[in-house]
Parts: sequence; structure tokens; C-alpha cells
Amino acid sequence: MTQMNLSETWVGVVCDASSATVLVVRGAGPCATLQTQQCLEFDAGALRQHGRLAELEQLVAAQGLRGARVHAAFLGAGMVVEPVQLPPLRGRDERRAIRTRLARYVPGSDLCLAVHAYPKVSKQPGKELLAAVVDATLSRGLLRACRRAGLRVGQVSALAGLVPPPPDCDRAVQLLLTERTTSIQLFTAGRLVSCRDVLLGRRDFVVACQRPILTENGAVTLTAAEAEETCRAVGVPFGREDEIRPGVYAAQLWPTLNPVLQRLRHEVEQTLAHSQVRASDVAVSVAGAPLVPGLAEFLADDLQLAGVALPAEQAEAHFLAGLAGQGQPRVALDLRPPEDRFNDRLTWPALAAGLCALFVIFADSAGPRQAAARRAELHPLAALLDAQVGQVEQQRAEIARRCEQLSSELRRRTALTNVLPPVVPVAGTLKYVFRELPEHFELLDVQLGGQTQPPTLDLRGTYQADVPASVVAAQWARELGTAPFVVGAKVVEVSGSGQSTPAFIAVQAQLK
Amino acid sequence: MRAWLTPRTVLIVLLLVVAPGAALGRLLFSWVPERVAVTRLNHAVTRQSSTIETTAQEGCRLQQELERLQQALDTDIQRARWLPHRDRDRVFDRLAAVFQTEHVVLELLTLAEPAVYCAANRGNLLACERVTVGCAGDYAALTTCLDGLATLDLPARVRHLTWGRGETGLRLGLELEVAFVPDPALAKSVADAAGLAENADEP
Repeated sequence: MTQMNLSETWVGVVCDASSATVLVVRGAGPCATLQTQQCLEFDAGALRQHGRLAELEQLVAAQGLRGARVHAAFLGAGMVVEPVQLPPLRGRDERRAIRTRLARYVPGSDLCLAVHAYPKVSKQPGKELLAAVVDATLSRGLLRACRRAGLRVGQVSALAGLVPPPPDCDRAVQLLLTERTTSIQLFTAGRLVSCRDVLLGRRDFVVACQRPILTENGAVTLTAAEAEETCRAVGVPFGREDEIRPGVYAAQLWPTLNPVLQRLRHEVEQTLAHSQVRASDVAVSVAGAPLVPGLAEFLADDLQLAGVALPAEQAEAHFLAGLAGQGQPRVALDLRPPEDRFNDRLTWPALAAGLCALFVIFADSAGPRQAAARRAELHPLAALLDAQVGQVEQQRAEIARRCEQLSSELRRRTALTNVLPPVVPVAGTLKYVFRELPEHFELLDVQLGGQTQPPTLDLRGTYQADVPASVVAAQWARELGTAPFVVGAKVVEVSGSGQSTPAFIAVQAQLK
Repeated sequence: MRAWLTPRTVLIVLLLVVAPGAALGRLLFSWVPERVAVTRLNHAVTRQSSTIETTAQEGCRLQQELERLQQALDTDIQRARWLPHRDRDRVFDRLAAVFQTEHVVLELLTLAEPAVYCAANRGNLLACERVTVGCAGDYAALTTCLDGLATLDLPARVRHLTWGRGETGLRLGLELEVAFVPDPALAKSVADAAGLAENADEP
């Protein structure tokens, strides 16, 4: 519910089937004071159809209340409030059952339903609820009328759920007075257990005050304004003996008010009897704006009730607080049409979603900006890396090609090396041969055959000494055969002994 | 239905449905593609970095392989088993220099037409310059020539050697082969002249 400024002026509209009481109130909570009040008669059909209350528009314009907050409430005829006990049902079936149960009292199929769940005390399965229902077209029409009059709608509620402060006894009967009707509500331990609307309202008291009052000086008749003032200031002069007007005493009002009082007394008595509640267990509270002072005291005394739950001023403040959706304790029975509930419930989430969406759309939120910046940062890097990849690939390919060439060349050379003919160390071989020649041997000829396999070295020379040439040749061949570069050596030819004439010796060595 | 059709309800529906829808649409058509592009670029950068790293490693390995091969080739060349190409002037000059010493008379130094030195196959062969050397001198001078031949900076192989006495002293006769890598035309001609088989293990 809405928070209210303590000095704010707001408008309360208490509406029944055919009339509405417009209250101009200043302040909130217990400090609320009633500034003015006016009763408007209206055509319910026109209100439903057109959503216009000309009198309300005129009042708002006259009082300068345009833009003020309005708290509307339905009371009495035109709405139904009833405690309901339901078996265990699913949510949709439960609301359908409540709607079906209450719809028989209200014509039309378009209903505003408000439900308050009581804490469960009985052992029976199911739920204990307080349900209120009102014709949705009427509620919608009242809202439109208030908006057309320039008022800001705060809430639309059912005042029947207004719980009086707990009296000494745990049972209380509360009378909510409007212009035309009175709602008689019976509370037990803070729960509404019975609610009846009777066609007897504050207007009946005002009309009764306009009847002739028998005084010592004769009959006195009050005008409508005087009767209104008397009803508001004096009310039911229970226990009062003071002079309320020149020559008119309070006690003299009793005969004129008595029929109305007796009717109301009878209705309250019927309610208690129907609910099987003893009067001595019940405290009474009369609320309404404006009040009829002294009515609660009269009923408490006349019906021998337990007492008065609230004094007149406190009851009025309690009523205004309940009308404004404040006060403690309070049962919230929201009777707004479904579209208004939908709108109120989703206004802030929708605004938040819209703002977020607008931020996302127009404020260039961080996500796309960061992504774009990151992309702008990555593009050159990717291009650079791409170029580097190309270069590295090219270098790798070049190196691979060069490797392949070198490998091929190496293979070719290895193949050639494998077939190279052996190299004979010619100089070393000859030097060895020259150094190791036998004594008395003269080397005539050396032939190196490098093309043979293995290469051969043919040595020829002459020998002359005492030792036979064959022996010297053999010895020489053996010595040659032990040389490191020689595989083997053999004597090829020895002619003569060499002892008398020179002998010819030929030795062949096979080289490695 | 008409009761529901209030300006406030319409505004709420717009704010609740249309505005978030538009925002969602903007996200879908601007932010999501950006994110997708960024994700792709991230993947591309990661992939390219990985490729560069892998390729660099492969390049390093190949570089090492290249260095090893180059080293092997250099070692092979240092062994000087053959000349890298035909160079008759060099062969002639080096051999002539060996035998132009004191007390040695160089009587003969001829270079014949190249022949096959060795062949792994017809396409992979070495040709050789066939050099014939004839000289005369005393023992010490010829021994010096032989020492010079042993230390000669030329891949020469002695094909035949004759050493003996002559009319004027000692005579030394040499038939040498100096291997070299022939150009393809010369390789073909020497292979044809040597009668190497056409199908002999072509590379």
C-alpha cells in the first residue's frame, strides 16, 4: 500500500450501490482529521457505463483537490463480504468456488474478488478465508470517475474487513455506517465471522432529526442543515441532559430518534442471535465518517453488551485509517479490477525492464563496446600473425627444400664413395720398398698396377752375393708380406743363384 | 477486452515485451555477432600462435638437420676425393708444379680425354682426367717428387707407376687419374663411351 504524508490532504470515497460519501481528510493514521464530507447520489448504471460522477468532479474542482490521492472503498449494498470455509482445492478451483458462492448475491458475471486467508484454527481440512466481491464494472466505473475528476487512485478496498482493536473480551460487533446502509460485522478473535448489511444509514438519523421535537415550548422542527449539524454534533444523546439548542434539551431528541434506534437495535440483536452469541460477551464499536456520537453507548446499554470497544473519536480515526489502507490490525481486501491489479503489480517491473532495455539499446552497453574494442585489437594481431605464419611457413619450406637437396647430394656422394676405387699410398709404399731392399740387391724396375684388383706392385732387380738368390728372394717376399699396406707377397721369378753371376729376382706384392 | 485496453496496460506491455524484445534483438544483432567474431579471432590467434610455434620448432629441427648435412658435406669435401667440377688447368698446373724441381727433367705431361672414374649408376658417376707423366732424375729428386705427389692438393690416384733405370738416370713414369664431378653432358658422353648400361639403377 502507499505511504502517506502526515500533512497530505486526501479524499476518501465510501461507495455503496447507489450513493457515495466523499470525505476530505488531512493527515494519516491516528492524526487523520475529517475536513469535509458530502454525500453524492448517483445512478449506478450510468457510473458503470460511462464512469463519470459529475458531482465528484464539481466537488474536486470546488475544493481544489485536483491531483489529490483518493482511497475508495465499497461498503454495504453493492458488495458482499463473507467468511468462507473451503475444502482443499487448487488455486484456480478455489477462486472459482469462492466466486460461485458469492456471485449469487451480486448481479453480473464480471466480479472483482479479494481474498484474505485466516490462520487455520479448526481441525477440518481446507481453508478459512475472508472473501469480498463487488461488481467489477461498478469498481471500474468508480475508478474511472475518480480519474476523470482529477484524483490519483491509491487503492480500492472493502471496508468490511476492517478489524477493530481487540477489546477486553475477544468478541466485538462493529457497525460501519454509510449514508444509506449499515454493515453489522461480528468479529471473534480478530476474525470476521458474520457480516450483514441493512438499509439503515446515517441519512435515516438526519431525517429523523428533521421530525418535530416536542419541547416545553412546543414542537420544534429543524431544517435539513440544522438536522445534519445536530446529527453530527449531538448524535444519540445517550445520558446527556444538556441544552443542545435554545429551549431544546438532549433528552427531548429520544422520541424522534427512537424508531431508528430500535430498528438498528433489532438488526444487531438479530445478528447476535443468528450467530448464537451471547450479548454479554460482545463489545460494540461504531465506525463511520462522520459518526453518529453516542450510538455505541446506547447500543451497549440497551442490549446489555460487554461495553464499548472504541470511543467515538478513536472509532472515527480507526475508520479513516482503515479507509486509507493504514491502521493496525488490518485485513487487506484489494477490490481493484483485474487490469488495475495487473497494471499496479507490473508497473515498476515494466519500468525497470524498459529502462534496462533502453540502456541496452541506446546507451551502447559495455558488452558490445568491449567486444568491438576487443575485435579491433585482435584484427591487426591476427593479420600480423597470419603474415608471420606465412613467413615462417616459407622459411620452413625453404629450409626443407635445402635439406632435401643436401640429403640428395649426400646420398649421391655416399653412393659414389661406396664405389670409389681404393687409393694406394704410392709414395709411402715406394719409400718403404726402397728402405727395405735386401743387401747386394739392385732395384731395376718397379711397376705399380693401380687398375687391378687388388693393386699389385711388381719389383724387379739383380742380386749377386754368397747367399743363394732364391733364399734372398724368399726372405724378401716374406718381409714385404708383413708390411702394413701389403696383403701378401710372392716371388715371381728368380734366375740364377747370384753367387757367381748376377741373378734376376722378380717379386710381386698385392697391396691393400 | 476493452476494459483491459487502457493506455497504462499498453505501455506496460510495451515496456515488458517490446522493449526487452528490442534490447534482445539489439544484443542478438550487435553484441552476439561481435562476440562470435571475437571468439573466432581468439581461436584464429591461438591457432596461428600454435602454428607458428610448431613451425618454428620444425624450422629449428630442419635448421639443425641442414647444419648437420652441411657439416657432413663439408667434411666430405674436405676429404677431397674429387674435384667439384672439371678443371684441366688446375690439374695441369698442380702436377707440373710437383715435377718442376731441381735435378728432375719433366719429359712428358699429357691430359687425355676424360673417362669414367667410378659410377654408382649411369646418372651418378665421376669422371676423371687421365694424366700421363714421364720424368727423369736422380733418386733424391724423384723421391721428393713422390713426396710432393703424396701431399698434392689434388684428388689424384695412381693408375700405373713405372720406376726404373734409364739412359740418363732413374726414370719415373706415372699414369694418374684425377676425379671430378662432370656436367650432365660430359657425364652422358663418358658414360656412353664407357658403355654403362642405360638401366643401371637410375636415381
